[in-house]
Amino acid sequence: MKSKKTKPTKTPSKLKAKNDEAFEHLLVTQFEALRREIDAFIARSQKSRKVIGKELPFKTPKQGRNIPWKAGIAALFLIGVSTPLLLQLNKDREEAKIVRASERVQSPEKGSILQENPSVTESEGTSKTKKSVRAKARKKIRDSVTSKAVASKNQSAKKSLEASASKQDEQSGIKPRARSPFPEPAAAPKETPASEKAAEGSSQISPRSLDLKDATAKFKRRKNASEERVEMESLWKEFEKNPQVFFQNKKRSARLEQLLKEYDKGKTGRMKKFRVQKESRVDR
Amino acid sequence: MFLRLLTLAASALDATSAFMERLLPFRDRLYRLALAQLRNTSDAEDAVQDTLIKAGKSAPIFRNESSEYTWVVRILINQCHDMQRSRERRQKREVSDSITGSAADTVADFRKRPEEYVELSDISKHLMNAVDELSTTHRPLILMRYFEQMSYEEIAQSLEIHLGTVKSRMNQAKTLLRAALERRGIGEDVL
Repeated sequence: MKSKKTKPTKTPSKLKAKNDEAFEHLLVTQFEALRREIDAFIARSQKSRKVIGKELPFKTPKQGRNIPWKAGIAALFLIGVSTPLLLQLNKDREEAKIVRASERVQSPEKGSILQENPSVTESEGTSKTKKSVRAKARKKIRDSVTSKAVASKNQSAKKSLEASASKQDEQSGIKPRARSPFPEPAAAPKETPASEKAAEGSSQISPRSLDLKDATAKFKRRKNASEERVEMESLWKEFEKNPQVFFQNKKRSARLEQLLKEYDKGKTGRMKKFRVQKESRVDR
Repeated sequence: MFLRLLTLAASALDATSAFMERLLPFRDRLYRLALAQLRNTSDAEDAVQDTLIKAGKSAPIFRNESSEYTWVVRILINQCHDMQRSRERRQKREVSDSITGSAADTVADFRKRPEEYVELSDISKHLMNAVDELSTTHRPLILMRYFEQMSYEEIAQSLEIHLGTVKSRMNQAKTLLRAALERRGIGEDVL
């Protein structure tokens, strides 16, 4: 048998290198073909579905437009959170101040103890007492507010009354007093020694008008005095007509004597005449 | 404190949105890669979306050592691998359900629509099946190098490994792929 002469085979390393190159080439070409196939498929599917972009609903954020929005939302959120907190804080502080002040006013001794050992007093203080103190403080504030409101109401009522009075004056023909734009200067007080003394004695300012009760009493007194004077005059006339007859009625004579004492006071000489007549009658 | 947290969150949101905006031009390329691996349009769309979301979330970690695209490609390849695994698991469950005769018949699988599947040539199908057989360490290397035509340096940056490691792993990947292709009767004349 003839042995076949074979060609010298390539060394395994060279073969391997050649194979590697071929495989590399195969991979490159096959993957390129694969890419082309996929691109063709995408193009086809794009035609049927129009756009791939619509398949991927991924919204692109627009940076420039978003920034002010975000800042605005963040600012609103911060304001919304911080304002009620701050308001609450302020309220609590005010309440604490009021409570402290009221505690000091009510019990200064206790206040001193509080300063010395606040933890002890806090533990001792029940919730009821705290509540009552707070309620009192609130009531005080409310009272002050209501008194202010009443004062303002009174002022407004006074003003309206004045306005109505001036209107009536205008209607009746009386000229309203012209008011100067400048405030009226206060009348200079007469510097008399008596007034000075009075001012020194009493620091309180005397009111311009009397109270209603005092005024009525004064009015009654004046009225009685005038009536009594009239009575005195009539009795005096009777006395002058006939003193002997007049002295017979003791009640009338006594009344005339009393009235003369009170109102005549020796100014007109009636009292003197009356006494002389009386004495002469006694002597008889 | 609260303001600081808010500003940090806002800045993170800004960074994420900016990063995602930079990635948007690569969306079509990413979709193509996902389609090559998954061979299903809806799965590929899901994979791309999930990848972009993941990339956006981890934008603050991105160190600018590699380009955004190479970084996202790595995320996408891993995402596709996860999806493939879950799909396989689902298919296995369906098969077992059909054997036992449970509720698998009543539940419709909308992913089985034929128009969603990519029509590839036989060679391409075998090639991708062979690639699928590769492990998670070798598969990204082959796809990056031959499908995405990335350089060794870019692959090294993307996978955060040394260039030498990339080369050695590439050789291993090629050997494994060649064996897988040989089993399918492809490239016998070349090899």
